[in-house]
Amino acid sequence: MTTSVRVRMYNTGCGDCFLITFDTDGQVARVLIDCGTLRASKGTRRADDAARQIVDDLGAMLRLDVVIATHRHEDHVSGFRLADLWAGVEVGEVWMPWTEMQEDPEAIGIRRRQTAAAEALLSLIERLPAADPRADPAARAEAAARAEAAAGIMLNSLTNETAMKTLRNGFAGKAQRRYLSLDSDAPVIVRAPEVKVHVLGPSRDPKVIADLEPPASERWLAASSAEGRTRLEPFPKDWSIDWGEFSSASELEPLWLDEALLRTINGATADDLVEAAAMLQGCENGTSLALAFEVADRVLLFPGDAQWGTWKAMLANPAHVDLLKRTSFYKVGHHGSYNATPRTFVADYLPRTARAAISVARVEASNWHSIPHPDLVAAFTAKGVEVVRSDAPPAVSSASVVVRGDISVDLDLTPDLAPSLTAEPLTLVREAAIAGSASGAQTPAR
Amino acid sequence: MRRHRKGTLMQSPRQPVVERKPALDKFKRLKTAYMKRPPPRRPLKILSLDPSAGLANNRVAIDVPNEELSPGPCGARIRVVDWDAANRRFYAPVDLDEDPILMGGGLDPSESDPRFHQQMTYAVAMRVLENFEQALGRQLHFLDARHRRRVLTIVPHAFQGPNAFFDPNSEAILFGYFRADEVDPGPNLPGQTVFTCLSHDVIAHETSHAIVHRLRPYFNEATNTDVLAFHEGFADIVAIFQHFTFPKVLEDQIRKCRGDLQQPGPLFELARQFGYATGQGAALRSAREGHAPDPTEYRTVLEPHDRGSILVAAVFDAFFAAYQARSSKLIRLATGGTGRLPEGELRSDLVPLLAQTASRAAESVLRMCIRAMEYVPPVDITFGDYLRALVTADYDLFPEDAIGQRAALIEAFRARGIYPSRVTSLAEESVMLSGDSTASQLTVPREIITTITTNGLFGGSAMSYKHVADALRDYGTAEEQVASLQLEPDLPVKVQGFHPLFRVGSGGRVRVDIVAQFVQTRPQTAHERRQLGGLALRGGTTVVISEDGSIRYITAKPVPGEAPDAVRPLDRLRAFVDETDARDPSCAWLSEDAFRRRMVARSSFRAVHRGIPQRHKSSSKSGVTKP
Repeated sequence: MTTSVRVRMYNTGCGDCFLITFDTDGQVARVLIDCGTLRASKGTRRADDAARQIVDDLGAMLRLDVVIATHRHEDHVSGFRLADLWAGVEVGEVWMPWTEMQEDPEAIGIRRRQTAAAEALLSLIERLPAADPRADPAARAEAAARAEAAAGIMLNSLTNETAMKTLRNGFAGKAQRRYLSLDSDAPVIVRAPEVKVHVLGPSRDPKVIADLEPPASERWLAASSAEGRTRLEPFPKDWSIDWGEFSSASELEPLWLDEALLRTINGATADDLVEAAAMLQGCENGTSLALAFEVADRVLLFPGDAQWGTWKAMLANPAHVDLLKRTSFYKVGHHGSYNATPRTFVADYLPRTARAAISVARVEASNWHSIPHPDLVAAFTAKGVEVVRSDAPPAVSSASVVVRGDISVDLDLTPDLAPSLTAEPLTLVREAAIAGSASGAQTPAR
Repeated sequence: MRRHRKGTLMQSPRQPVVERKPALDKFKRLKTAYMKRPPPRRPLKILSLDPSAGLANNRVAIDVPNEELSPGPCGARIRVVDWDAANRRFYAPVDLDEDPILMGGGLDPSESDPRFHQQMTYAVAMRVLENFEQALGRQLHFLDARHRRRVLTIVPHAFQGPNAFFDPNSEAILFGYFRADEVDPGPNLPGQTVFTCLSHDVIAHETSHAIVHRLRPYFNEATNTDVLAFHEGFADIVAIFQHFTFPKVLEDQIRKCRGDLQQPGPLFELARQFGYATGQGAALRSAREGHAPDPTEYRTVLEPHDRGSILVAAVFDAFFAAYQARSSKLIRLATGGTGRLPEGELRSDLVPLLAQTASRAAESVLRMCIRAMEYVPPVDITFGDYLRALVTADYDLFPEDAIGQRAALIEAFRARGIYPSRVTSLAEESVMLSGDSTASQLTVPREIITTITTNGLFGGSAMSYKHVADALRDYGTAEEQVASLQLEPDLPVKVQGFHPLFRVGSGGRVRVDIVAQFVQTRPQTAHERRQLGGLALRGGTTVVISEDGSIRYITAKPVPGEAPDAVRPLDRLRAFVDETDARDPSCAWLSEDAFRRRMVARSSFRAVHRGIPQRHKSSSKSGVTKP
């Protein structure tokens, strides 16, 4: 038996959508991992386009062996909102993280608290731009930009209930739902017997779960309760004078404030919200299903948007490190953000021959400019790892990378998997090429 | 007795002048200096607990040094400016010299009178400042980056939000106010306006930040996991132990928990009530009573407030040892020698005595903790460094350790897994700082010591400051000295500060030591600096010099070096930055500009004081866990 592997990265703007096709001596198994776009994404295509394209691409055989939703963020699941479209597709199994379990009290608690926190924070953010109409215009513009950024992060976090409904109840056939965690039994892909699936996260260890909990409520959620949304006037008007009177009363001069101090006072809340939004998003990304598909001694790594908690456990587990060392395809975590891919993983474990795929697009919000982070891209490049971006695919197709306009990019991983073509022979091929060019003969490398 | 003399070597910045009505002009006796002397203290009232505890039985009359005040209150070193940025209003400033207020011993506690809020922030902040000054034996002035004096500004209603923080750039403490949650109000009434400026502990905590920043301005550069946690833990220590110095606060608790006095429980409980009121990370969160200290926490707890509470808990142990040593005598006395208390209420005369005792113990622990600040390095502090400083500071003052406080302290740190690095054992002798036995015999020139000493007593000019600083720098960079001070010979040295340390030594003789701090900074390329998130490569040494010019103690943190066997390897600093990045989800959203300064931004007190990094301890309990 030999298995060939193709990974298709659909362009969904800023979001993930990957279709893996395993072909075992003519028996085909298809696995869809995520289908979503961020609302604020400015890419040419969206998850809905990708969803229709997938159904189109499936052709006559409207069947997916496995659908995987790594976590419930908009940029990973929004394409599943098209319930009618998906109702026509037969699905064998749906895999989700354990935090999506319907009966488990712990999972319910985490979901409830995360959603409540996201909603509360969003409502807090939404009222922020109007916070002070009397402030100077520059300060107002700055506050508005911050609020937009925070809202962008937070909109991604709402329940995405329609999409989750499809994943829980939709699709044709009797799809079995599996809720996976680090210690659950490894699932199998029935029609791809040579593929071994490893679940690398999320964990159910209480220490790791603590990172999934939104921050303690009384500090900032207190301020966002229904009552708190109005401006407080702590003392009746006749206790006070306004800025004009204050700043022109020379007898109050010892109490006047300098520019630096005024700026500090005025900017005291907006930054907190961006930080809170990021913090909460981090908690939710921590629920990401992180999977490794092992085929013919090689590994396809799909960490979702896993955060440090999952990675740290992975890097501390010798069995998992062994998998990481054999990575031949890496779905770059969290669209290439700075700290969703540990430096040690790239520097010490990721093989030079591996390929990395970043599914990303420009987002018009001030705080998203660093996705993907230039340092991370540079680290891949320095290592010699080939990087393929969904928003900027290679201009021309090659034997192993097939570009279909701005719709999708196919990566053929079969050559990397063939037993005869492990790391050493590849090096030999390169050396031969170098030797060839030195002797004047033009031999194409690979 | 571990007590310091009050009021020596210090004069209030500006003494108010007593003025009399013209009708009294005729009486010459009333014009003598003695008759015109101002009262040394000014009585003021504060709330002892959060207003949520109710206003009945919730006031403490305290006093602060009397200084000339204008409305605000606006004094020489602290001013209160009640500007509300959220409403763009300026609230009527309190005039503490108004006759009715003077007669009442300060305004009575009132949530609805902003002037009481101003009075309380002023009174508590002044008390913190005074505690520092008494422990350090010198007057403190807040300084800007160029060493010019400036006033600490307190803004009691700066913004709407559940936060309060010290901002070093503008030398200001900003307090927020917010509405308590309707559903989960904690100890407050649902929907009630909560003022962070009405909590003694919040005010004391923030003022401590300002003073620590004055003493060690580089302690907000997070170069290891302990630096920010030290800032937080130390501020909590000051807040809690200052709170304990008001005996009235302790009386109720002592009466209520009579049988449990042999356990630290009730005092923990009280501290926790304060901690809750602060909302600042609940000072004693990890000092749960009934739990043995957990040595793994020092390795696993990293959030600055939580980590700081490990330090608080360790110091709390030492306090309890001191309290117990003193109170057991009283209890034996009250029980005819059995030490076993009878059933029922405590005898009413025992309660204030015990409260008094606890308050004295708190005072002495607070002094010890503050005094240790003289013995810490200028940069990169760890809890272990602080333990060494504590032991050294205490030894200098009380070499005999009659009640075993130092031993208790070392044990409390050991039980929490905190060891100073590079010490061979945990005997007092090896934990204490030492001079360098290999240090050269080069001594600080006599005239420098004389100048510093007289400046310390009588004030000095800017000229003499510069003169001394230059002389000290020449001393520190002299070839014979550089190695023993662990300074880099090829980097310029900045004298960060120096001052005399006065103390009554054995035999009643006044001892004078000089404390001097040397700081060095290694230049970095833009790329290197970006990699460290804006952290400077700084090293520094604090030296305690005795009056004969020889070195008594050295505590050094050399500039991080590339060599793997360096005292502070650069790689360890890089790894710390990497790990901090990995843990910080907002790292994903930083603009390039913010990315370059990320470590600096993380160290701002505002960021640290956001409640956001607080987490539930575990999700296994359903519902909301209180910190």
